[in-house]
Amino acid sequence: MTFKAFIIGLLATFGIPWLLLVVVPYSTMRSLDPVEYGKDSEFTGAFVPKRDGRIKEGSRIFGQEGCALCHTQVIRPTYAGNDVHRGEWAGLRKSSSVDEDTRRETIAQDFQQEDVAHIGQTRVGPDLSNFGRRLEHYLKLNKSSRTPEQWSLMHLYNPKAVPRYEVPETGAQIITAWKSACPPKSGLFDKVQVNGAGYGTLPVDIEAGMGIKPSDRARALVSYLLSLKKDTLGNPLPDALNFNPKAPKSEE
Amino acid sequence: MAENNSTADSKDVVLRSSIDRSLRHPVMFLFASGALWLVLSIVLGLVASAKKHNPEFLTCFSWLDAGKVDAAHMSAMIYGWGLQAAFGIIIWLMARLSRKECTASGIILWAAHVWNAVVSYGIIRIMMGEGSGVTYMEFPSEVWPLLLVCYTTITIWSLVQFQVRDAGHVYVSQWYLLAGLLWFPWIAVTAWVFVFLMDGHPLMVAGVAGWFKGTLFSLFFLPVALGSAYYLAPKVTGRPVYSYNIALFGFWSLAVFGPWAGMEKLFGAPVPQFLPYAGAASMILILIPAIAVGYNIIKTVIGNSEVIAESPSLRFTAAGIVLFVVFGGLSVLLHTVPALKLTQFTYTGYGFDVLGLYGVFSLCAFGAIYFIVPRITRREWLSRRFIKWHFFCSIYGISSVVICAIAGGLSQGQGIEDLSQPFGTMAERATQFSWGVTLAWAFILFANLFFCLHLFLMWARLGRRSSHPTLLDAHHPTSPHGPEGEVDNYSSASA
Amino acid sequence: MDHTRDNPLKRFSAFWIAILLATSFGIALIITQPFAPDKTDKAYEMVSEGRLEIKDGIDRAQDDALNEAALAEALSPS
Repeated sequence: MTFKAFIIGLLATFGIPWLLLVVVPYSTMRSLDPVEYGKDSEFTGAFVPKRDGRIKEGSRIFGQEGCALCHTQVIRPTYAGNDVHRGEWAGLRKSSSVDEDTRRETIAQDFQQEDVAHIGQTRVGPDLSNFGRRLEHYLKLNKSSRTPEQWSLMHLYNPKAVPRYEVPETGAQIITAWKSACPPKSGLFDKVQVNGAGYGTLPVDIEAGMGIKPSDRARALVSYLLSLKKDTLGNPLPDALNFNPKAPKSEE
Repeated sequence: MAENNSTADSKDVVLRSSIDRSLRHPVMFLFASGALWLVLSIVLGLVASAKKHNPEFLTCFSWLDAGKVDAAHMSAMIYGWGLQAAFGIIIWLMARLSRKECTASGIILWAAHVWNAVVSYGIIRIMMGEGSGVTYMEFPSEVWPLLLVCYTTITIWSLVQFQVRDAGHVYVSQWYLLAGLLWFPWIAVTAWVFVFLMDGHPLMVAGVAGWFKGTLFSLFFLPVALGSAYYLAPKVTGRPVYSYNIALFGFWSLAVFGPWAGMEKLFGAPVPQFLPYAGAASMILILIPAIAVGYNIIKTVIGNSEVIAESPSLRFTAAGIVLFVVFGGLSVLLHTVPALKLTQFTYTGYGFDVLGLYGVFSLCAFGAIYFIVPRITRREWLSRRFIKWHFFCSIYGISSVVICAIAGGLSQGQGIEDLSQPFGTMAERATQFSWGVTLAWAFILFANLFFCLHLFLMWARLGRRSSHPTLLDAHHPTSPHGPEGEVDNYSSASA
Repeated sequence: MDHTRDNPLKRFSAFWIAILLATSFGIALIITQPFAPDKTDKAYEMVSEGRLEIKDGIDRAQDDALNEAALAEALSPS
């Protein structure tokens, strides 16, 4: 084998997958035509999902803190996994407190406004695609005095200090005994001096005159987490993307 | 080609020792700093694994927060240890096989220092929470071009040496090393451009990062490991490679299947379906080069079991190749659709990655290091016991990591697919297996602390002054490396 | 040493061939990517049509409601 033959062979065997797997799909995905609402739909124009909260910044912090190593953000189609049927991961299930089934699989537009899609590496913790929706629902159902933001900040500071909610197939609301394996993210919080109760600090007791304050990074991260509402209620889906036939078409 | 003529032989010995002398400083620096990074990365891996079953472990240090420490662990292992060990092996092997002295040692040494500085900077940024946020490419975006410049400065001379080699037979190892040398910049530049420079769809950014990680193993670490194995197996046993044709077949099958790897990490995500399927198919087909290389190397060394038992280089290399065949077989089992569905988001992926990086690449790298270091320091290894501990604790540790992670992953996956169980069941199972992983890393740390110590003693020229190599069995009457007085076995140098 | 294969000129050209090979795919990207299609702003543009219509309506209504005479009188110094 000559050097020339070797180089040609190497360029060919590398170049073809490079083109077919990386370059062309990358360009194609950048030039996706926006999906339009159908003629019968009450909405017109293009489907442009919007999320509230500090998406770009929070998404970057989510990646930097390595959350993507233990939490996923993808509801796979059923040939690839049971995620749609697992609890409230894909959306809210129909029950006495929920009128319509809002579950759906992840679509490509779900990751808009982020730099990189945090598909996730492992599921040491639950999938977070619908974390915002789930948390609001559970807190309301359990008449909790916490706001979603407070719950999330406490979870980041000390995961074992907040109750965990879970809904197996029977639809019952339980708080499981097993405590979270999520390690505390001490780097996101600052210890500050406070007078009295302290404004904007977490409800934890440390030394007298000191309080735990979430940093800006923690707030941005929580803002991003609470924006994770990738079900049919979040942004009305055009029929072309809506694989859940029972889903309502808009948020009432 | 060596002639059976004593002047030609002694000229060859002089050439070889001048090649070794020219490369002494850069190669020893690369190996020694690599070994230190290996120890550090294993410590980080221990912390990362410990946090999975004891979440409050070391919470006082925010730079060791979970997630960040996992990223730091993998990045340190790949860029601190893996790439530096690979550099040392590449530049020494290519110089020896092309029979050219290295004329750029000073430049390479400088570049190796800069590499260490850049990697340190990247790891510190990750631990401060200022990484890129992209899984599999966690270094901040400015680190990558610096790494590429250092890479080119270190390895371009090997590409030159190959082109100006004397006419004649090209060894299998040279094809593997040449390919690895070119593949790395191809995948790294592509990944850097698409992930950091251009503004692409978030899913494709994740996909390209996954592709980079997959091809980094199949198109860089694997060729370097195989190139080293194809050099050591004939060299140490004194027999030629069993079949040059099978060797070429193994090489080209890796070249054909390897570049498609990596995107199986996106299985189930809303990307064009053929992408993850192509990745999974490529990982299944990796069995073909694994069997070709395994068959070829085993046939080369078979019948020489005493040599494998005695020679540290061959023992580590043979273990690495056997694990490569195991890797190929496991790859087939783990990348079918039912297996992916079950294990995609479990510890299985981590165990499999560690099998590749430590079990295949690192064991072959250790084999090369145990061979190369005596030749460039002109000293022999001090302690047979250190080498044995390094070997056995590594084998035990890597088997444990792989078994616990893969079995744990299957159990985790089964737990999550079982809808009658709450999520907590799956999480509990995962925690139990992570204890096994932590213990295994502790063994591997123990092994490599001794390796690091041993290597540093050799670097300080405190090795044994002897031309009789350090063998793992003290009672063998003659050395498999050749008669006394020669550090090298030049009379069977043909491959 | 075989002088037909190893001389400074050969080393020089080997160096640049090596650089060229290593950067080949990077160069391919530099050449092709500026011409790659990019519709990342297309959705924004499609949605902006509706938004601009509304804005036009508001502008017209405000223009109609503007009483030029009263405004001029209010602004004149007196």
